[in-house]
Amino acid sequence: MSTPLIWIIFPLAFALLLIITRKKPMLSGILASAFSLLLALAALLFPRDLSFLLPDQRLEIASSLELFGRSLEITGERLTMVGLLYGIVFLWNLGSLLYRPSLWFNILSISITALWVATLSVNPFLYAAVLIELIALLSVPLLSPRGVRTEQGVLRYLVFQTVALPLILLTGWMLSGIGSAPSANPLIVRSAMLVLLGFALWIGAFPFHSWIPMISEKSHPWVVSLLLALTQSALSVFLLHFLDQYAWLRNLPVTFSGLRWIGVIMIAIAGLLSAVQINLGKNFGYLVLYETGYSLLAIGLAQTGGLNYLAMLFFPRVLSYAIISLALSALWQNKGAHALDYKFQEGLFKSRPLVSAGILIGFFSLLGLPLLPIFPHKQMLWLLTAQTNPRLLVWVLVGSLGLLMSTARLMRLFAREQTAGAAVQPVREKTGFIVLMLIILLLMAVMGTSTQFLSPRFLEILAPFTQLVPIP
Amino acid sequence: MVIPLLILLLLAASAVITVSHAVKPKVSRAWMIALISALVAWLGFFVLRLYLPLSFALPPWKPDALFISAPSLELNYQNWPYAVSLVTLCTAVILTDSTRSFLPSSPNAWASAIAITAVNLIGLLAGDPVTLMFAWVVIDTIEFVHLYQTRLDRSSDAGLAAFMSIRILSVIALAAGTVTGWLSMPAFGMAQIPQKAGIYFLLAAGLRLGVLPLNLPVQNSRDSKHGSALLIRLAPVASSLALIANLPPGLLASQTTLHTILMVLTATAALYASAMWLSGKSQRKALPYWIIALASFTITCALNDRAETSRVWGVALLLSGGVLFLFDPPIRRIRFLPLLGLIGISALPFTLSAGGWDGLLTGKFTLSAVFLLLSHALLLLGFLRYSFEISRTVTGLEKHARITYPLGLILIVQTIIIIGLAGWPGVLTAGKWWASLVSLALTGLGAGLYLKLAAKLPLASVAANLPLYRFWTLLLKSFQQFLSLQWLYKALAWLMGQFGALAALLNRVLDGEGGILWSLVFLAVLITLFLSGVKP
Amino acid sequence: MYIPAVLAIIAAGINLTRRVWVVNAAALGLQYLAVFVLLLTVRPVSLAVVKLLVGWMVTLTLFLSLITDGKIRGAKAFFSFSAGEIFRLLAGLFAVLFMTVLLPELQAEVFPRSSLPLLLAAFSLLVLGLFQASLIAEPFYVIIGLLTFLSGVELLYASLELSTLLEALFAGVNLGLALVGTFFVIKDAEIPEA
Repeated sequence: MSTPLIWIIFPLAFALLLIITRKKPMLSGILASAFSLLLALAALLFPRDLSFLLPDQRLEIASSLELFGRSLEITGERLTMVGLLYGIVFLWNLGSLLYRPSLWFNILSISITALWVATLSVNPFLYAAVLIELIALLSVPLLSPRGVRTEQGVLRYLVFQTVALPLILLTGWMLSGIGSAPSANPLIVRSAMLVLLGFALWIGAFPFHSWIPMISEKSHPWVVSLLLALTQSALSVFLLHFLDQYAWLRNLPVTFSGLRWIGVIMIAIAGLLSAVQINLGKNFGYLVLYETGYSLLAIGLAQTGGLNYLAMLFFPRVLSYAIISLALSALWQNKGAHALDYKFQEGLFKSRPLVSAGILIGFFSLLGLPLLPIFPHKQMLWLLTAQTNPRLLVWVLVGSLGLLMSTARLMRLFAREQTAGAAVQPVREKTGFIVLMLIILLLMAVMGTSTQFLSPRFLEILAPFTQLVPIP
Repeated sequence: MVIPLLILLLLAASAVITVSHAVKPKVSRAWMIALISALVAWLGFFVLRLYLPLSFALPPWKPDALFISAPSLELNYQNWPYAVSLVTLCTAVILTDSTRSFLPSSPNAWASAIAITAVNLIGLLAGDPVTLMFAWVVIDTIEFVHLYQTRLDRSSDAGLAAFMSIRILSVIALAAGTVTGWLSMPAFGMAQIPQKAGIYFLLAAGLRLGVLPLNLPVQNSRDSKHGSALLIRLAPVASSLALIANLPPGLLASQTTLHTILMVLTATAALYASAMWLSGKSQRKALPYWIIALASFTITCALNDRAETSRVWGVALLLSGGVLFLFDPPIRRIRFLPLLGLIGISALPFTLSAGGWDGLLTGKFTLSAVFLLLSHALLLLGFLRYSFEISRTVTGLEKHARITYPLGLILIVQTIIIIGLAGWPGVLTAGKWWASLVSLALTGLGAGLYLKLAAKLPLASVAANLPLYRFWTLLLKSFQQFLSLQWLYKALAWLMGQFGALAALLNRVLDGEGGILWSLVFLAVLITLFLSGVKP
Repeated sequence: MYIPAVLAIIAAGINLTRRVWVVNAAALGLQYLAVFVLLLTVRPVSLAVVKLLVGWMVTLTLFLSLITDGKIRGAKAFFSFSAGEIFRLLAGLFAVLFMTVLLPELQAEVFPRSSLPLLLAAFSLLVLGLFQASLIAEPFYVIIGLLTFLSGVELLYASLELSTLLEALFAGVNLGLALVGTFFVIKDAEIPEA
């Protein structure tokens, strides 16, 4: 028995088994939710030294698995991240009981998560590039299911993920030449450029961001939010692997300042573009980019402790995505992508109070409003940014104002009740939707008022990155 | 520990009223619970005056190596007068609402009045900026829901988005101030706001009060008969006023130009608002101007480095305003009661607001000083006008209401007197007696003019008889339009539209068929920039 | 070794330029054959032949999906060129010319152990594939573009180092792309034209 077997191979096998149940959505959803919850809890509760004391013996679980001469390794320290990823997939599979975006949702969501775990645990980890390409391929049936014409966003997603592949692989090859090279070596600059460009393509950094709003406009919000939440969280940690492992990358003077600048530029651009959108789905895409900006900013602030807030932001951010996409899914249900156009949202406060509240709370949460779970961490990031370079805060402020304007536009729209002489009528929501919404809201409220709740647990994600010196 | 107990008592009473009314409706029981809880809180705060300063620390955010915030509540000489004023208002609302106990919505209105008071108490007793931010967000949400439910025009958003945006902007300003403050003093409390952060805190309070920049709250709502509607308008103001009282001196010491601009803007806002207060169509319609005018006074005090003197104007705003606005139904026989509210606002020597002149008028004789003196006189005239306009005689009040209704008003007047005598050390002062004389003379002059010109005519007709009436009207309207900042908002909207067009173009380029190539072009540009910036 | 390199470039060029499905499928098959010959210079036959088999399997999968779809019969007028096709041809030609000029310097500085014909084929496939994937929104051509791009990557990487796991993963990615392409073609064909 080994950890990669439990969190990579078993889930892949389970996903294959789930194919049998794909025509029975409720059963498939329940099984997938239960299985992912089990994996998440196991990852969070497993002893960090991977050994169990039984009455008569000590049971040790191996942390690595050999495969084609390479290894998959999940040490105890990495289990928190694994738990987070399976926690995300649990929440989304639970939601899929309400809004089933595709017959393959449960199967592929578990497979994709297993592949993300494999991505973070493969040694040497440059091979992860190919795994990420496979993840992109597996995402296609979810993003563009049968019965829906293939949209450009999905194709562009595939193109960008494929273009990133050689960049990372070539870095791997170049690394063998770097070894003891001095930091002024041109090879180092080239490798750094390749790595950062590869990441920019993967994560959708400007100017490679266009696929994110494109798919979020046309694909089911519940699918988009799951894929983007997994991608954003896993890739942030993957970037930490690079920075932790390669001193040449870490010691390059522009690496961290470059990340900070890219981060704040993304915050500003995404915030401003969010203010001028006319489709809720597309707007959600910009919110994800806004948060990617914060992730990059936090990594850029690694030397002053920014990584702590990066780690603690993961879960609150996922909750914010969940609440927005759950509300958007309720709007999408039976109506399709056009239901997310702004022109159909007038009077939403009256017709669907819970849906409109969910959207606004999600927006406010990502904006960093007090009492919502992202606030404590973002406030500390603002402080670190101000300490490092106050000019960066101007960009952050611009992005925040953009997002505030975007929210104000939505409020205006939601509050307007009578259009073309027709009064808005309230819609009855599903009980499951109300329950799930309230659970997420409760979690958000608790995390918003107290940082003790759950957040510090996620600091363990940083444990493997000893070179990046997170403040304990 | 007593501070949270009092707040919890109010919250619990609110919950009990709501639940008991839902299970078995009984108006008298609900009223008694509301009154007893409010009175206990009122007495409690008076008793706490003997033990100031008091603080209550909530558990700090963990891990403490990663977070600076340590939420706490504090009761000191800066915020005690506001806390007492707020609780007094709440008690008075419940007492005077006895005239409306026949309305089925009354118990809910009392429950919400008590809850609103409790939440706003958290805001004004906040010992640190994070607690204040939390309270503000709750207060704003309550106010937003209230405005949404009571708005008249349902085909538009009725200014709700603008209202909420300004409130969130104020929270962002507060957050910016907090971060700026932490740079020089980590985990500072509200009593030690660092000088550098002061301007952000002032901006945050100014935005909420509608003074900096001048903005009027939503006017598009139904007039509620309940006093809780007044409380929901006045209570949120209290926490902003308490914040102003805590501002450090010299917050714009190094920026004299900005200081001058803000001084002129604030004084102008005060003059404009007080003129609008005097010429308002009705007392209720003029309420926002009352708030803006007196809030401008408090901001002026802070700009003059005498933030502590702002308390008198803040308390006058709440209590003198409260006694006038709660005088509903107006009864001619007891018209003297709202007139007693003038004790709070008159600024005569040895009254509550006497010390307020020290904050408004510095040694120099400036344009701002003239504006402020004029504003004060206009405020007094308006107060007199609304008090004397009452001519109705209400009959049919229930027996208990004949006692409780005036009692509520007397309670406010009594509190004005007590705070004026012993609110904080040094409150009883002659102040700048000449200023009160000037203001009084101006008020007398205005009243005299009014009596001479058309004692029996409504004010609008008096104004029409003034020389150059049309010119003044035009001037006032232009001025009003300028100050409403609609031109600025329109310019911003235009700019946003242009940006939207640019963003749409960018979207079309990047989302179109050649989008990937455009991204690659950008990539080439970035690589060039990168290579030119990095010298290996 | 320039002959297979040029053949690969011509095949990729045809795919970039023409929009005749049967020709594109044939060109893709030819491209994999040329890549196989080039791979023989740096890989044992047993490994190189895997690439060829995977490539042809990929081509066959796409071809069969087109037959099922019925679109393959619609391909006509091979010798008439549209403006777009001429533009793509010129763009491709310029790109290859640019590569030819630039490659000797790049080889000397970055890839000293790789042969020039192989590098020419690899980078040309990379660029032409990228052009193909970027210049059109039709799924079938985007997938062919990506497959071409990946062929370039595989060729380049094969000249640098050997990893069995990577070879297997590349094969998986190629097959996955073909499956996705087939999925797109069939799925879009199921939707009635508006």
